[in-house]
Amino acid sequence: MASQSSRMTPRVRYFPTHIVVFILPAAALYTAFMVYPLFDSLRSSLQSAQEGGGALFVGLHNYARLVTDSIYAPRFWGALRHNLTFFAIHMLVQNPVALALAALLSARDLPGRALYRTVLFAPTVLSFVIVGFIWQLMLSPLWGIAGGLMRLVGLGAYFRPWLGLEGSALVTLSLMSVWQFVGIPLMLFHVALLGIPDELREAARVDGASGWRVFWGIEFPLILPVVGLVAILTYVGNFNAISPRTSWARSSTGRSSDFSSRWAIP
Amino acid sequence: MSVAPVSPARLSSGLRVAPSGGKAIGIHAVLIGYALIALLPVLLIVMNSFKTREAIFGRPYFPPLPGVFSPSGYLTMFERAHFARYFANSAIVAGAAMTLILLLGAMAGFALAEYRFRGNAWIGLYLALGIMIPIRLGTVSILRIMSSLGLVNTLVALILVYAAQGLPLAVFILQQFMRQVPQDLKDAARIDGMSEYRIFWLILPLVRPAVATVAVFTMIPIWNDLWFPLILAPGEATKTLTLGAQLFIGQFISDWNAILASLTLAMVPVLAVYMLVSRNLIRGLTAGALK
Repeated sequence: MASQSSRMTPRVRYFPTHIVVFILPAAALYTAFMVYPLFDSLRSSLQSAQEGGGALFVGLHNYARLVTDSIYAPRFWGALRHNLTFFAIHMLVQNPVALALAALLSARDLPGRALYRTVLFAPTVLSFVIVGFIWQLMLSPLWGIAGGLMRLVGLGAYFRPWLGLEGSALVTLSLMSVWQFVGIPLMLFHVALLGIPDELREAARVDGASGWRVFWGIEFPLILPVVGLVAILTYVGNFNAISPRTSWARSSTGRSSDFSSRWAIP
Repeated sequence: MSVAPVSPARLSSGLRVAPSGGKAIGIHAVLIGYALIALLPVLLIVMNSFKTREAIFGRPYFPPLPGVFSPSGYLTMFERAHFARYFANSAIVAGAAMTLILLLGAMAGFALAEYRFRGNAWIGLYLALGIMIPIRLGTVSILRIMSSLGLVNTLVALILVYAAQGLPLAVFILQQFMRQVPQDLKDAARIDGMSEYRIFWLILPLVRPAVATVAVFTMIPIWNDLWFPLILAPGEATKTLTLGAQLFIGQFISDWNAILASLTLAMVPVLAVYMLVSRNLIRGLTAGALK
């Protein structure tokens, strides 16, 4: 932001009507339908509804109830635990897979790179809801796609209706989400890898470093800031993950895959 | 070892050699393998949506050739639900919200990038704050506002909320790109006596790639959203495609033809738009990050 002052137009001295005309519509819409509702919700969370209308300021009482009440608390803490599992699976599966694919995709002059990029990013543009249904069908023992493919490679005996089992529902949901969103970290890593000057790789190669060494010794340290960014985005995205539970897997799994963000909204 | 054609721009960075032999095969094998994981579920749904019930279960990997072809899923869908209307609703909401986001976002972005005035940085920061905060947290208040404005069960309610939600990112990105437009151009226009509004319209076409990127990134979440249609406009006349498909599948859970058909119909528009713009989209992403 600081660098902008050097190339700005002359300072405006008369009343800048045009600036108001340019900014006001966006600011007004954003304030009325985003900022105000967010603050209003925050205010409501500190109040308690009273008989006959009206609201009473109760401070953090509602929050205290959420984390201690015998009805709400177990569900809240359970949901939070599910969020952490969901986050852990994304960090352990989604981001390493994305990094590996990005490293391969960034190989120099790879033929078909644009096509690969298009295909690998495609699931990301689908709706959460649709992805949920797609995988419900894929994993359905009735249709037998997943079971059939596993039989094909000799693993048929290990097939279970994972989405419907209490113990595996959350992991399955997480992996469905990984399938959908792996394209985002993939693109971020890919772009970062493309941004590394070739001279650095060449120098290492001339010194006799293998591709593996070049990646871990030169490329990975250089894209560390992006690795950090991806971790933050994963964390934020994970706590915004409301749709999977509300729309996916209306199965008999009960609350084994409830999320805390669903609880953020009563 | 095969030597790839060397483009002039890349000569400076030394010898360019494509991955060769076994290594190249290995790379392609892994990428094709993952591409199959990404595509196969979608392909299976689309293919089987055009088949008879027996073929869906008996020969799921078989393409919908004559003999197993059947449009019965689509017929059920159009008989039992107003998918054409849902589609139109989604298109109206996404189109109107996107127009608002792009126009108002470009205007605000232009002002923030072009003029030095008191509070410029603060307004920029204020408008950017919304990028990180999910608007869903304000749902209760939004519903209250919409019902007091009498907008519940109207498409206008959805358009307003989506526009507010998309503006922060649009302002942020467009502002960055507006800064890169050469100053001389704007100064020349000013010397010719053009008004500031004319200059805005002069600059807008120059940041077209950024506008396209913002358009897709705002359109996709709007098209896919289930939350606000369910809360603000669940009525039959205002259902969007995602909501319509979700409810329809819930009702016809045992009619596989209908489920596959509605899933296909819900997926294809967004995938088609994506395929059309993906090259530019990814180039825009790359350019933005490499800047």
